[in-house]
Amino acid sequence: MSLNDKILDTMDRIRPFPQVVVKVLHLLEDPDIPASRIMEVVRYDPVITMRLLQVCNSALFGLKRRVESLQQAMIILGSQAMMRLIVAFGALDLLKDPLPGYGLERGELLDHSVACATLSQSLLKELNFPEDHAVFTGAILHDVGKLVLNEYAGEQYWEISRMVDEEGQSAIEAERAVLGVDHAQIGAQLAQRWNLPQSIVLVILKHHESVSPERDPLAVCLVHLANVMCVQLGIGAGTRGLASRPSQDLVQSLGWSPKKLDACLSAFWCELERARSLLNLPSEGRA
Amino acid sequence: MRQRIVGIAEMQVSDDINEVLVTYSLGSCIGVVIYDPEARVGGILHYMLPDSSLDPHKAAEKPAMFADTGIPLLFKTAYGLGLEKRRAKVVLVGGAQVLDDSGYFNIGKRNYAMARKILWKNNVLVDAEDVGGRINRTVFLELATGRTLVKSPGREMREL
Ligand SMILES: [Fe+2]
Ligand SMILES: [Fe+2]
Repeated sequence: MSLNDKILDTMDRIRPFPQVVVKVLHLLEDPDIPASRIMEVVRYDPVITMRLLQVCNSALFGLKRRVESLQQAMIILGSQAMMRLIVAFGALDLLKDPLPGYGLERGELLDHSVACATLSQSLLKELNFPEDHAVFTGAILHDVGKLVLNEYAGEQYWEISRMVDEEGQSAIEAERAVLGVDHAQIGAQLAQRWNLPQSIVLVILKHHESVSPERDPLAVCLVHLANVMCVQLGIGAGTRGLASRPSQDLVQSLGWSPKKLDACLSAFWCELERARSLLNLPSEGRA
Repeated sequence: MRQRIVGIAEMQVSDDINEVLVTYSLGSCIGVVIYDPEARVGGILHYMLPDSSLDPHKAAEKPAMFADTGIPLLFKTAYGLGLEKRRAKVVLVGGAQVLDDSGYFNIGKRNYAMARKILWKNNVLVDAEDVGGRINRTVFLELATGRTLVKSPGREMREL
């Protein structure tokens, strides 16, 4: 079997993204959709429903009365936060495995994805842009292609690392040169197979590209920036994550100073701590 | 031996010789490791940003987030357990960068410069360092011996 066929074969074996969440994401494409419509869909996923109720009944909220319905949960969490939790809970089981091909321990990809989603969301707020669900969801799923390529990036671990260390290539360039395909392309294909909205496929596909607000949707730009900032902090950087190239066009057109980026990081940190506790993730970022 | 984890924007100090302090995944952050071999007291600070004037409110609540509030706190806390400045061994780890020439993403460099500046002002010499580049680093400090070990994915463990 050629490498290409093997990769396609592996793609078939990746556990699918929960159908209920896919339905929710399509409903959210319409910004005027009433939350009650969404709850009718979520009800059909018992795992996600249980996890949402568990969060509401956890010590984080300190409620005296037990929360027993999704309607009550939505009042407590707020509808936007609840949508984000639904997506995150949907991706939880998918993203928690270790990926030795990328030097990521158990839980690290999940933590990286949650961090990236939290930061993308807080950059959106910082820029005063309206809510856009592709930002959070795209960020949660941006590296999903690594699940497929892990095995092959592992086989070619030393060659990919050598190209990064000795030739100064970025991790994604080296991966593409050695495997013929990269985790952004494969992730976008997976998202397509799962029938996710096009806005999310695009975020995944372009998250390492030299994006700019003039050419690309806002969600694409924010996830690109958040990803670079997270690997820079060491969150889910693994073996070669720091060999990432931030888009120069993007930082220039934002017109932010390095100090402004620092301020975003310090604000983001507290939000990440909260997001980790809502999702019941360890505070050190690994399981 | 027990591991005690130092998270990002956190600090831990110990005089328990059965402990190993560990801080995972230093990217652009700096890990400041101090150890007094006589008192067998040591600590690690894992700070994110150079300068607390950015957000004094946050600094009051989380001093270990910034170099200028975290480093004095690390020393002060270790003095409380018997560490003495003149005997202390100091190691700096981290300060890595992404692939960027614009200077927008130079937190690693600025974090490192700030550590050197603060330590120099306080007459503290740096005994060893493993900084810069594009690698992710995990640091261990053995309280019994003061051995400081650095590990990066796909690389051998090295002693500083
Ligand atoms: Fe990526
Ligand atoms: Fe990423």
